Amino acid sequence: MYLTALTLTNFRNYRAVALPLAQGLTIFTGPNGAGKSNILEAIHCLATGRSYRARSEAELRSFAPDPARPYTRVAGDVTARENTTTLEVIWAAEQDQDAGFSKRIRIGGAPRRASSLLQHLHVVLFTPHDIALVDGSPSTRRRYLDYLLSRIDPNYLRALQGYEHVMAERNALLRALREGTTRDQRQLEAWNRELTALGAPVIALRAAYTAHVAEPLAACYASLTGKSGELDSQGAAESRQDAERGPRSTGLSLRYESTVPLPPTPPCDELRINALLQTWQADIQAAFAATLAEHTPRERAQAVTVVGPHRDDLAFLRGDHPLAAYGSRGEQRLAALTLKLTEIALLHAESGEWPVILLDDFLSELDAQRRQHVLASLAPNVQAFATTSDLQQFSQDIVAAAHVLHVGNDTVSGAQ
Amino acid sequence: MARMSLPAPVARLIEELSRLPGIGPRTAQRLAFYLLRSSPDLARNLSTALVNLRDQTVWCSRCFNLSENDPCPICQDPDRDQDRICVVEEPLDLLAIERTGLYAGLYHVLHGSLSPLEGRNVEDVKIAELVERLQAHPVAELILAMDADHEGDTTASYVAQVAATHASRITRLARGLPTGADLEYADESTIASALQGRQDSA
Repeated sequence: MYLTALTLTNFRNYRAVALPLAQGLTIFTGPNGAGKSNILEAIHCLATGRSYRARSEAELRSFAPDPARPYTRVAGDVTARENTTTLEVIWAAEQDQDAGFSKRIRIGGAPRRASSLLQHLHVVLFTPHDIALVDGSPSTRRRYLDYLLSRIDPNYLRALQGYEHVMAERNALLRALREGTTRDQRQLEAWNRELTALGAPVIALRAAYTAHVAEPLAACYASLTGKSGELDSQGAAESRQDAERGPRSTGLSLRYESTVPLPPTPPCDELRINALLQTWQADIQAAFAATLAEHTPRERAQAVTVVGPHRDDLAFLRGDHPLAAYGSRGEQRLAALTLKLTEIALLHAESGEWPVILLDDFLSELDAQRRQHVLASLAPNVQAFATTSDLQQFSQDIVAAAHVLHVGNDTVSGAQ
Repeated sequence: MARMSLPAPVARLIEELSRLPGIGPRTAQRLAFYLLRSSPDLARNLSTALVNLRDQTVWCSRCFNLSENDPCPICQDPDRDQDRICVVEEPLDLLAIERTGLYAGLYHVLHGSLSPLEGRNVEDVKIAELVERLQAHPVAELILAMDADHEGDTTASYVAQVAATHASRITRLARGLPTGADLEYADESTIASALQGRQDSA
């Protein structure tokens, strides 16, 4: 899939910009603070309904909006399977001041929920912050899994949202039981049945994903480290040592670390809840229910749900060692890069369409060889957008083949 | 200098109206002035209706349906199947089932689903009353007709557990495609329920 047009209205520093976009690599270049990343942010909003940078959506509003158009809007035309669909995200100040800033989504002109965007435009974003996937908190990794799996299977998002809702109900019940405003223990069992029925498919798809990507992930990491060399010196030395110790210890792998003891993951061809073995999901649900029962005294005391997919984690391992604790910065960065590169292939395999790649000031983090490797790993017609303040970072043949757009004075212009 | 404010009866009505759900001060003002300008009968009829609403209705002491008499006409009707009870969340759900003309059994209105977030636990709905009723008169079938949401599911699951020994059979309403719906446009979970609950074709 690819974007053929992007229109920004009162978005960040852009009052009114309309960009025709092409397949292949587009490089936005310009001085720092010119608004290069804002364009990538706008594309990300179209794909997900939200920004990956703004803390509050009010930040997205232009400081000097066009008075004739009192709203902020991002619109884009996406072509996938020879069909073109217009996606729009519109933020408008509410008449009622207290209601603040409201957001509306339109797909092909019709109002839709934000989650519907996930099926229409797939993006894979690379930023210098990706390392947080490895060294950050478990919630960062859960969010990554949830976002990825929601794009692959809408049923996953439905189960996850149901799970979170039922957990909020269950936590409210735990508080009421602790305060003695309600007494019957059997209510907890009823909520447990609902919670485990929704949580089991969430756990199952995450575990299936972890098994599913094991091979491509290890292969991708090996090919990145194979070209090693300018990996930070400690990391490079470790890779050499590991290479001597044999392939098992060098390989990158993922492990889904669940708070629920899981039965072994059966093989699966398709990452969809309904394609996963039903008996396996039933076993997970039973294990989840048993774990909840074990933790009931603690939950009664703390009045929160302490086990379940909302407390699970995804560990990055090299050999048997968790990278979060033992990896060098270089290794952690490469592991995050590997995960994202694997995501591209996975989205393509599951949807039949290549996602749009966003490289937000990302390539500057890599040495020249890896930069080349990342760009070369993209299929020829994949659409990618990169930002850089220094075009010299790219080799001449990459620049020659790319569309270069200059960003400055709150506008975007073609190559001179 | 005398300053004009609204006469007390008008201000009072506005204040009372704005206590109602979905009615803000502006709507309340508009309603009050509408009543002032329209025929006196409108206000008089409305006030009688409001008084009768509470004075002439009761909750049936058996099924907790809204009624003019206790027990309600359904509970008093000997022609209704005494061996079947259909459990619903709200009186309006009961009316929806009655409109089908297909059900001839009794009802039990819970007055809400279990939702701890909204402060509703078992003590806040009429589940204990249902169990008491079933203990006195076990039934052949208990039909659980709760909303098809997580709260409805959990309530049904709880009721099924506590009523298990008092009903020979406990059923839930089928889920699936609404009549007239286009299969193509139905969401996946609806189609999944319809598939799971499919029936032999006649």
